[in-house]
Amino acid sequence: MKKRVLAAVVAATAVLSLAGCKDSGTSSGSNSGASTPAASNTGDSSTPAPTNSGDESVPAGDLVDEDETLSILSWSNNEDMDLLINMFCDKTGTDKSKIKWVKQGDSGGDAKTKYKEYLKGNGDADLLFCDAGWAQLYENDEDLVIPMSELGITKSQYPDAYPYTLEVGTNEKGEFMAPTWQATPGLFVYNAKLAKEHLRVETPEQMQELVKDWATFEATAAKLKEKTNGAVKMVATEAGLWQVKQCDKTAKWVNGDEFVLTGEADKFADMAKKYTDNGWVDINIGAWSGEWWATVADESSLGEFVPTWGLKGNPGSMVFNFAAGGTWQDVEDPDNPGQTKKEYVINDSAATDKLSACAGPQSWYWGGTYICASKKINTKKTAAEFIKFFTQNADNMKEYGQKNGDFMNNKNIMKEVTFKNPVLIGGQDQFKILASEADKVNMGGTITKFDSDINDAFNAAVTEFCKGEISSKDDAIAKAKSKIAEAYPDLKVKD
Amino acid sequence: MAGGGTKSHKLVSYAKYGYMFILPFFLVYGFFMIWPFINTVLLSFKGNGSKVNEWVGFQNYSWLLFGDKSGGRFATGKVHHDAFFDGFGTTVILWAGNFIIQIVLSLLLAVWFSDVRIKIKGTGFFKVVMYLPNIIMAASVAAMFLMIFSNTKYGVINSLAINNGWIKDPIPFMSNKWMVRVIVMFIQAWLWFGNTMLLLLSGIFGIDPSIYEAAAIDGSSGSSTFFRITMPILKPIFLYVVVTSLIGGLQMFDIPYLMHTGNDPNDYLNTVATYIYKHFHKFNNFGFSAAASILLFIVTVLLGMIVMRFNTDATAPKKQRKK
Repeated sequence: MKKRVLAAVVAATAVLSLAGCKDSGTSSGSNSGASTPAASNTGDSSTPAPTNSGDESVPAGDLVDEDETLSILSWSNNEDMDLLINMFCDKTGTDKSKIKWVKQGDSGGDAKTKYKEYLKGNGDADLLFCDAGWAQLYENDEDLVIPMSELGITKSQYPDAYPYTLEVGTNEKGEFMAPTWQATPGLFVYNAKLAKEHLRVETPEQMQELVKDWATFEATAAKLKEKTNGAVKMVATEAGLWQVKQCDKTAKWVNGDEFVLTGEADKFADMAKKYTDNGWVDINIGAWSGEWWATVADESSLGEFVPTWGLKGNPGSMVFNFAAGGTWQDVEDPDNPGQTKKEYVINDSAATDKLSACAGPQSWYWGGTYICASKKINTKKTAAEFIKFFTQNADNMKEYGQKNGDFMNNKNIMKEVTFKNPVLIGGQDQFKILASEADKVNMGGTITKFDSDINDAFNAAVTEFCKGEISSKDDAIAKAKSKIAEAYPDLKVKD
Repeated sequence: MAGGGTKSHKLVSYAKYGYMFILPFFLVYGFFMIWPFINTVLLSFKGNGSKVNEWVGFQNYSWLLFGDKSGGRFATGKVHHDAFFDGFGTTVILWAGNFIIQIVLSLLLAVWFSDVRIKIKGTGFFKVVMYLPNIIMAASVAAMFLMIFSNTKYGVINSLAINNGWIKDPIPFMSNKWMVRVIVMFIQAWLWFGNTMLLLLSGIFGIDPSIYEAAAIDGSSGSSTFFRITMPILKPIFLYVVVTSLIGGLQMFDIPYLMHTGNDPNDYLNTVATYIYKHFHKFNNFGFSAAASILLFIVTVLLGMIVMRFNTDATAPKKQRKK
């Protein structure tokens, strides 16, 4: 018995000593790296915490770097990152090793939850790239991010920005939390050959006449169906319609702590059903799949709604994939060496005589990357420089937009920048149409931090309603409501 | 005497080194199993959403089990009660469906493979081939079946049927409640029948061949040999297969979770495990998620106790009978 006790003691000391090692190891590690920002936030006298200061901010000269590396959190398939970092480093002579892209999540959707986990750990984080759909989630989280005023950046520095982008970047308290270098309105991209054949359309202007508002859009859809016996759908996905229509809101999804079903959303359910039943859209085609690219590429659909970042025309962008098309192939499965899986492999080159773009029935936006500052930030000087470099400096913005086909968030600049699209017919300059569209986007104070999840839950129910899996609109709405109530215990959802 | 001395000496050294050798296991087990478990129990008594740090007692449990009668149709307690039990129902349906196909198939194969009179050639080859699905990653399996049963005309089956003129519009496999469930049942059965077959086969090989010889001499037919000899002796193994499969089935996660194309998992395939994952990972509803985990744990423990019970019961009376 004694021996057992002895053994237990030995075991226990072994455990303790191991645990001790581990503790001291991590704490010494964090002292050198991540604990500095915490100390600076509380004890740094040079930045007297400017709380609730509407538009007053820290003078730029007071900002200091306590760390050498600017760590930017972004998802790993964000193709803007390399372009931004390279241009910033080349122009300012900053060493590329000083700017670190901390990859969190594969896509924008993944990053939404990954950032939270990362920020609660010990890793270094200075800036967060947030998607417009969920940027408000972080902008309203005081434990994780700080207002831009602490970096000497205020809303008044953006007189030429498109107003809706400032709305996305402002939190519930009215603090300016996240500027962006891009505005992301969208257009209706269509197959010009099909349009000519069935609708006798020669130019984008003529096409616009046929889709100038929703009533005309629907009349055209009906005509197209008649001419092609239903072989060509008007629009590729119902998800595309929803991206456009969710910009119509006149009221918030959430009022106080209560969920409110807006009239526009209710109308959208009817609209989506009508499009499905009339055969104007194939409800079974989901976005971001091989089928999505294929349906435009093989002329099963006339067109799709595409935002600025999908219009750039570089390989991998939405218009490129639509124009290039591909083939269903057995490809090597990266997760499973030696095995293959079916994949829609996009061709290497895109047709340049296939697609054109016109404004479409209404102005709208989709996505956009907004820059938040982490509460752990320890490179305020470089961070502020980086943000101003891309969101305020007119020359840099012009160059970036021209070079990459990105639509920049500055009205004056976008009047001047021209772009020869590598995919659209005749190198059509999408900026010309986009500039006036972006100006018309108005969210009228309807943005909330719940938007991306509620939009998804609502459309999931609408899709089921369209497919006939849910028999009535009321049941679909009830389903959306119970999903929302399940996700957010903080919200009151009434009958 | 000298013997006694050596004995006590041996004891000391063995105990000491023994404990040292098993120490790593207990460290790892404590860190990765016991502590997370305690943490989950603690979390299950805390709130959800913005109230994750608030102590709410048994509220999560009572809401999950009995719902919230005071609130309306969309009260938090009510919707979580529905979601949890819906998940539970789906889990049991998916498990039962897959298990019936699986057990019939693997029992049949096990009996055939072990039957000396049929003398199937190359049983080793077949056993390997039938076990193969089990070693493919769930993600690959899901991707493959998503491709085969895609809703659109680009899916393998739909394109085949449309190109041959059998159907005009594609069949929506993935968005039909029962079609998609049957597909998942089939996948699960296909993944696991090889494994189950091997377990049953080893059970059958454990039966004394002289019993079969005696039966053959007495002119017993194939079916009566199966029902009167194989099944009764195989019962403990059979029960073990049923209950381990049920425990595994209750935690069914990968295939149901992965069988979707868009952002959200297929609604008809929401199991208890996907419910737990969703509320822990996607939303900050740690309380509900933890409480559901503990409830699942309790059910699993109960099932485990039943299998132990059956195992002892099945052998005990037999011994008595032998006397």
